[in-house]
Order: sequence, then C-alpha cells, then structure tokens
Amino acid sequence: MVSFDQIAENRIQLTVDITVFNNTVTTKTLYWLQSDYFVFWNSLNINIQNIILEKKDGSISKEEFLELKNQINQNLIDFKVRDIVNQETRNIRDILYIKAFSHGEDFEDYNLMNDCDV
Amino acid sequence: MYNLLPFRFERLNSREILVNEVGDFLIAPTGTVQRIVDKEIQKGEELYKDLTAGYIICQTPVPELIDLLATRLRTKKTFLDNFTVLHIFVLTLRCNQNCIYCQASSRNCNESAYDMTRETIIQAIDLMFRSPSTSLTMEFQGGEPSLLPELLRFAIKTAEQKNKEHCKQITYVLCTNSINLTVEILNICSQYKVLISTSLDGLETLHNHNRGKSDSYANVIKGINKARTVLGVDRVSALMTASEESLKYPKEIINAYLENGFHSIFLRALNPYGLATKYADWSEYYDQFIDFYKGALDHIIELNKSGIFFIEEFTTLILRKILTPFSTGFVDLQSPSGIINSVIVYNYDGYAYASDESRMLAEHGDYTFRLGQVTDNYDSIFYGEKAQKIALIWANETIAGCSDCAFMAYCGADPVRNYSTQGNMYGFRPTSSFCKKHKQIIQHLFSLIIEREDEVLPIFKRWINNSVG
Amino acid sequence: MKKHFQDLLKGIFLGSISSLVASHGAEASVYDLTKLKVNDNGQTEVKVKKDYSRKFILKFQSDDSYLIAGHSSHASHASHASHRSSSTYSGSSYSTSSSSYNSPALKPISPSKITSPTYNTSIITANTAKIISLGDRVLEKGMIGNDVSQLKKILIEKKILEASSIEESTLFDVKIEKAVIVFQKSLGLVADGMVGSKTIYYLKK
Repeated sequence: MVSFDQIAENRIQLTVDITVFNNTVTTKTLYWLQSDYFVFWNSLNINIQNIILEKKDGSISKEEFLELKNQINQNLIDFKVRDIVNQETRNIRDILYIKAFSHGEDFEDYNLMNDCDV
Repeated sequence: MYNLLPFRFERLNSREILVNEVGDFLIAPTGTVQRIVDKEIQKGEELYKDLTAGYIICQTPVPELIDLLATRLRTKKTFLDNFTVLHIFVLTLRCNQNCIYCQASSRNCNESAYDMTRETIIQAIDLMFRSPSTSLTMEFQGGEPSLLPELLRFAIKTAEQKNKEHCKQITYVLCTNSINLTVEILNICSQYKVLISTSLDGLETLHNHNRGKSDSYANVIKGINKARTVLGVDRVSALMTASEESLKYPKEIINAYLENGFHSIFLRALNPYGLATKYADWSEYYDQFIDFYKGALDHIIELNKSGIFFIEEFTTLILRKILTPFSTGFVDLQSPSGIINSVIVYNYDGYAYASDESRMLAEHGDYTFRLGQVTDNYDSIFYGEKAQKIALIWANETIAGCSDCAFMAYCGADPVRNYSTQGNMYGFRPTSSFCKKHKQIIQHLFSLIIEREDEVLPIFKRWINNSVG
Repeated sequence: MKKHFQDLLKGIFLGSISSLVASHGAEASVYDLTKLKVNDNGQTEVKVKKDYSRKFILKFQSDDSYLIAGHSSHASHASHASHRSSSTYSGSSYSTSSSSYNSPALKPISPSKITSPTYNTSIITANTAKIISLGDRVLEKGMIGNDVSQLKKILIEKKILEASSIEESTLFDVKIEKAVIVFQKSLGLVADGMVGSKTIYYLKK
C-alpha cells in the first residue's frame, strides 16, 4: 500500500501501486471485504490505484481502522505470494491434472516418452 | 535452486499451514512461505527435505515423481469413477411428527396424493441401474417412509429382481424417525438387510421440543431398541440435528447418546431450507453452532481419553481427508460437488432432482435443480443441459474464494446451497455460511493438531481406523 | 465426443510442456520434444520412432559432462481401481527438530498397485568414453549433442555449410539440415536431411 487513511466516519481511502500489487492481487484482497464494505476503485495515474472503502453499516472505530489496516496489508502480500505461486506452477498444474484424469490407451504421455520393451 | 509445485497456504495461530495439491499439509513458522517463494530455502535445511517430500518444491521443472503425484490426485477424486452411488427415493411426504426444523414440508398422515406411484418406482429403479458404479445405495426418505410398508417392500423387491441381471452390490437404508417401526417394517429390514438411519436429538426435553410432540423421545428410544433387538446394534445409526435450542447443551447431548448405547454421533447443523428457512437468524446460528461443535468435540475427546470409545462422524470425515490420501464418500463436502456426481433424488412426484435440498426448493416453486422426469432419458437427466450448466461451477478449484483457500482440498462446493441462500449457484464466499462453518471447523481441527498433538492425534487415528464413515 | 475431448487435453498438455521448455530450457522435462514434428499444414503431430533401441534423453551441460536419464516404462496411470483400503495409513511421523519449525513429515503411502517410474541418473564426465560421437545415432533436425558439432565441422570443411554459423551451438538447426540435403543430393542419396549410417559413411570419407 502507498497510503491508508480514514477520510470520513465511515470511509477509508487507500492507494496501491499497481507495479507492486497487480490488479489480480488487489481484487482478491478487496473480494473478502465486500461483505462489510462498499468498494469504490479508480486509477489515479498509470501506477496508482485509488480505493475507497465505505462501511455498509455504521462508522469505523479506531480499533476497526487499525485491524483493517493490518488485514489489508497482510492480505495484499499474501495474495501476491499466491499469485507468484500460481504463475509459476500453472503449467505443471495443467500437466498434473491431465495426467491424473486422462486415461486411455492413447495417453501414455502422448508418445513423448520413450517406450522401451514394447 | 528449486522449482515450485502448486500449493496453498493459510495463517493460523502465528503459524503457516501449507497444503499441496493433493491435500498433504505442512506446518511451518510464519515467514516460511515468503522464503520458499523467494527461493531462499537451502538444500541442507531440514525444511528443504520436508518440502520436497511434501510435493511443495521439486528439483526439476517437471518433478520426477509427477506420475505418483498424479495418481494421488486421482485417488483423492476416486469417487468420480463410480458416478452416482447414492439414490434417494422419497416414498412419501406423509409424516407422523411435526419437527420444527423439518426440511421436508411434511404432510398429514392420510394424504395419499403425496405418495410415490409404483410406476415411478419402477422407472426410477431403471435409472438407478444405469449408474456405472458396481455398488449402489438405495435410501428411502420422506416424510416418513415407514408409514408405507407395502411400497417399501415393493421398491426393494423390484430392485432385487432387477439386480439379478446387473449383480451390483446394493445397500438399502431406511431413514426413519423410529416411531412407527412395526413388525412388518422390521421384517422387511431383516429380510433385505436394510440399515436404519434415525434421528435422535439427544436430551428428552430437547428432542420433544424439536419434534413438536411430547412423547416423541420415549417412542423413538422404544423404536431404536426394538430395531436393535431384531436387526442388531450395528444396523441402527443415529444422527442429531442441532436446533437453536440444542446448541446450548453440547455435553448433555453427547451423554444422552452414550446412555442410549450409541458410540458415535454426527454433529449436524441445520440447513437453511424448507420449513427451517422461516426459523432462525442464520449468521448468529452458525456462530453458535461452531461454539457448540467445539464444546462437544472437547467433551468427546475427554471421553476418549478416559477410555470410552466415542466417535464424532463429521470430524472423522474431515480428518480422513486431512490425514489420509483417500477420498471419502461424504457427498455433502466434495469437489466436484456431490449433486449428480454422487447423489440423485427421485421424488414422490415423479421427478428427479440433483439433491435432497433441491426438492425443497421445488416445494417452494423453484425448479432450478429439477433435472427431469423419471421417464426421461438417462443422459438428459444426468448429462443434460442443467447438469452441464451446474458443472461449470461445481468444483471449488474453479470458484473465487475457494481456489486460493488452503483448505480447498478438504472442503467442497455446494451450488444448491449457494443458490438457495445467496441467489446464484456460484455463491459469494465472504457471506457464505457454508464457507464460514467449514473453514472454522477445519481451522479448529488444525489448531488441535498443532497445539494438542500428542493428546488428540492417537484418538483421531483410532476414529479413522474404526469408523465406517 | 471422446476423441474431441482427448484432443483438447492433448493440446493443453503439449502447450504446457512447450511453455515449460520455453522458460526452463531443454532440461525442463524428461519429454523428448524432438518427437514433435510439425508437418506442412503447420499442425503438430507426434511421430513415433520405429527405432526400438533403448533411448536416452540427453542433457548437455556446459562443462562437457552429460546427464543421462535412463527411463523404464511406467504404467502408473493404468490401474486406479484399488486405492481403497480398510487399514489406514500410519505414516505420519511428527518430527520436532531443534529449529523452531515443526512439521509432520507426511509421506504418500503406496498401495501395491502404484508403480513409480524408476530413474537412473548418473553424471558422467567427459573423461569416460560415453560421449556421443557421430555415428552413434541417427541425427535429424532438433537434436543437440557432440555428434552434431562433429557433423557441423565436416560440413563446414566440405564448404557446404557456412563457417559463420554459430560455432558454439550444438543444435542441429535448419541451416545444417539444408546443408545435409545438398550433400545427399550431390551423392544421389535419399535427400531427407537425416544423417544415418550411409550419409555418415560418405561424410567421413
């Protein structure tokens, strides 16, 4: 996050650098907040995303503010790590599922393996 | 330098739980995942070996043991091979009780308009035998199916007759409230080795309160004992449904089960369907249920520690997913979802539904999960348009909120529940009671495994070994 | 429908493998991508080699040593039937190491039907006599190895291949194939771009 401030009784504004946390990561983080907050999201400039969270019910207390700050911070990093894992393992995951569920005489690694002693 | 394999993680009690694609878990201190992803783990570390053995990292871009991993993945999903195994026959809506949480919209005892016709039974049995599985379970529900012994006998006899040609292994289950277990019914059960699944809410006052009849408990116990005498103790199992009132008495309910000779219980929460929808405030209910569950489980663990063998079935199912590489047969919590893949319901009205809960929606005029008539073609019911539509989102590997969750491998998807509580089959995890309940239970079990390992693990293993599941 | 589905899966599978090789290089997998042949229509087709001799997948390392992985066939995806067992897995041993990290060292159990592929890997340095020389195998486009280097050298000497071709590369590329075809035509041999025993005989003369 670049900034995180309470701008009204029930509103918080935060900015995220898109080169650090891409939109996938930000979206996933905000997904889990949708039960309690309205999300307003726009681009400030080519790198910075501006997000406003408006609490659906009532105002945001000091404890809540700190808790939210902690939670969003942690989630952004966690989802970024998950994103890295997903990107790196996308291919192997496809291969794994195909191997697990494709069964038939013609599969045998699609003849890309060397079959000895046929 | 190493390569990553697919895995998920979650934070719990200042630790990180890493779970690989096939459900093996690893518990590590905070910061481990970051180190793994930054490729900082050194070859000499103990952690390196554990990560390799746990299929979280590997030395080559395509792991040498990829075939083994693929086989394990396949093993986890073995239930898919058998397709629809559980066939539920709703013989009638007639009932002799008035349970406050009934999801069956039960009708008065005398209304025969709500009985399944014999033609429907024959057609449904035909559909049942089209299933590729070599073993089938034919479950009779209602209403109260024991009110119609002739129909029950007809259904079983027809199935037995048809089975001469198919030679499948069929298990019959009668879901009954045990109040009307007449000699005739018990004869049928004895002759065809029918299992009895009954409902016992625990304490007498509680049970009567839940059933809306003051003599219910006494009659149920009488029925259970009768069944046990005729059929054998192991052929009668009981589950409880936790009404709002029940949630206050975790220990008492367990003790009541123990006193009545049961050595296992299935702690089941209410489903927000049927008559139950009008009934409670759901988020509060589920919060209370989790507390109830934790209290009951603690008590059961204590009982086991003091030498009394007592299993909690739901916990055992989840533990089986966590601690063993096998798939469980639990259709309510699997991915791809149990509807159609493992369960189908033939309703008294001659229609086939994707699940027990789907027919509840139909009672309220919503036919989203009505798959077709029992006279329809097998393919159009099981592989038809509706099934295909549901298939797009019935795996939790593919839906938002679940695909990144560390507990994905232990949990499941329920499009019917999503549709019924949230308005669409895809569902919205942040407000999903299904997600909340299961996530919290799984987290609690991991908590126990982490914090009280020596105490609970031997008990859990005994449950996995001995439970019929 | 089933064929269509199989084709779809095959497409994804090949795509993933190619992607991996693209990002990690030829050492990515034990898959032999030279078996993938693009025909004139631009579609990939898998060619099954008729040569039944034991094949090795070679990984060329920069210090002139070779990693040879001998691979015996595995049928582990065939039998998925009997993974149910009434006895349970008692393999989870929990090791509390001296570091602050605890883990259950969970190992997959192996019901008897799972057969894992057996791999013999041995790193052999250039001091032994196991370097692939020209003539040890039939060469064709896409292959890499010391014999390809030797082939290149001979073709350059015969002035059929331009000397400016990347000398360090041991890859049998299109240029080399064209040169081989020219050579074969000039001798009246079958001009298929593949360097078999006949072609090698004439090359070495």
